[in-house]
Amino acid sequence: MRRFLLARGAQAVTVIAIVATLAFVLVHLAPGDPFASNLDDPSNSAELHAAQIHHWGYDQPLAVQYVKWVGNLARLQFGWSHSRGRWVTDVLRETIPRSMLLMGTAIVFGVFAGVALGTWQAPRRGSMAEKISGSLAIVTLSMPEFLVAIAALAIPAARWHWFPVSGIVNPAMHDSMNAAARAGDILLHLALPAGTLALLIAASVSRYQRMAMLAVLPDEFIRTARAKGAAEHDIVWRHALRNSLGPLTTIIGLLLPTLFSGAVFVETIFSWPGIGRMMVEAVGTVDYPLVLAGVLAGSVFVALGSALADVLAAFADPRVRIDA
Amino acid sequence: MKVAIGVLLVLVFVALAAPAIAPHDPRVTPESALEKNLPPSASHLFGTDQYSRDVLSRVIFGARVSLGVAAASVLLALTLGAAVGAAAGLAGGWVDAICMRIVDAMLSVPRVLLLLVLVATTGTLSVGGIVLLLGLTGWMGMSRLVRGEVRLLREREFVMAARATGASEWNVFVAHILPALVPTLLVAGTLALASVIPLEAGLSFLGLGVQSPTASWGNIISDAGERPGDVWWVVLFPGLAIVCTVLAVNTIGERLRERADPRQRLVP
Repeated sequence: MRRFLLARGAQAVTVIAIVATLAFVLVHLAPGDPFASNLDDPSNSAELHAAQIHHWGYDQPLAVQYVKWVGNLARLQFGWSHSRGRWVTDVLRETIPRSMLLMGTAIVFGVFAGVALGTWQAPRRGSMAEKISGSLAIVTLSMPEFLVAIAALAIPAARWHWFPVSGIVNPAMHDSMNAAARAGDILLHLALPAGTLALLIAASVSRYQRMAMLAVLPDEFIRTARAKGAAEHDIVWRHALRNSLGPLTTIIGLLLPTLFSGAVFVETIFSWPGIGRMMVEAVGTVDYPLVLAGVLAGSVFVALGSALADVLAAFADPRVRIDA
Repeated sequence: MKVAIGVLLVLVFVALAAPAIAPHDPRVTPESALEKNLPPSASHLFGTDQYSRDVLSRVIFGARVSLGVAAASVLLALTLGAAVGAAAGLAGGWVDAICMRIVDAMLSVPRVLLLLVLVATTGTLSVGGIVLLLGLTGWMGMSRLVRGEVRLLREREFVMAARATGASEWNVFVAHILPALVPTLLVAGTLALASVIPLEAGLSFLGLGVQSPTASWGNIISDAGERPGDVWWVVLFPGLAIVCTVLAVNTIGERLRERADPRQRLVP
């Protein structure tokens, strides 16, 4: 087990190191520089532009910049965000927890709903209800994330006014609320964006879960349970369900990149001030340090998340460890 | 399957014949300047957007761009994937190790993030640029498939026989290995098409892909503006076009996969 953990950890670190290097090379080989847009402003002289480039070290040899950058990464210093006028680390400190709240909620509800749906579908295979719910899942998976988010924004929020349309808190009222009301305020703002992502996760998970259940249901121990007189409901929801959950952690690990991509769109549409929206804004303002930090945060999230999923799968099922 | 092929053929026809089919000019015209945000009606079946443009005509012209960009970028990704995968699989050793580590790393970054970085660094917003970026971020999975396949094929008798007759490595690859890769590439390409269409739509929706006034299904939707519920027709119709295309392409891809390798057939 220890060897497996070390190997999996080393793999995750290698991936992050390669991504960091690729992103660095890409950004620094790109034509132009992060201050080029400042030149459009006539009050900025060419001297100031040169001074900015010199100040932030963009005129040093690439190798020197790389070594400095890696050194700064080790201290979690990502540089200065020119568009926001703040340290990138401070921006990340605010945005990452918000995205984690969004994605974490979505995973919990999405996985729960997906497992329930898949488990419900499997014994009804071929029935009308199973076909309709299965088709709905496939249609959901064929929709781009932003379309689902727009639908959620347009109907329950904008038309029916059940939920706020944007942001993470009510900007006018939040500061005057007590702790419970503040939590409620955040939950109300969280419901639709997290619900959108949860729906996409649920659709995906339900398909895997249905297949996992179909693989378990013909097993002999199910026949034994049935022969000893267990109720059909217990057979499905107790015996079969437990034995079908093995691959679930691995599947969640595989869904993480999709989840993060979805969060980029959902955060943008609902103005959820997380890391996805930060990335889109950083691209719009050509804020290289912020873009680099965003990519790194995204790949660290995915690399650590899938490593964690693999480790959990190895704990649950010793056979997995042999592959390491 | 037949329905899926039918839907796809109709879409391709619509894309090719766009100027002949579209009832209106997809751009702003002087006559139409006062027809802002009209709901669907007999003269504008899909309504009009905030710039008084006919949404039906934009969806029809958008099919050209969206399908064209998707197809071209998948072809590029297939070429890159096949090249890297074949190089890694044939060379083995450290070439293989380095290629596959880079592929692993790139696969672990959400593709949207890769695209965002590339858009930020290249600053490209032209249609050709989008094709290039989508191609550059789509080849990794394919290269893995091709590499696996090549490593198996390399040991097969017919390849060894060709090598024994003195054929050069290049000839062996072109004449014997590449044809055997076609089914894999076809399946991978079709499924990639289904994933790249929403991606292009998403980028264009964010304003980082195909730029208005050139219509793409994604940027038509972004023309709905801040209150999409009030102009539902601007969202619904291009949205339906995307969903139908993805469903059709996915169905065809899954069926092709079953044909190519019956062992991969999913539990019914």
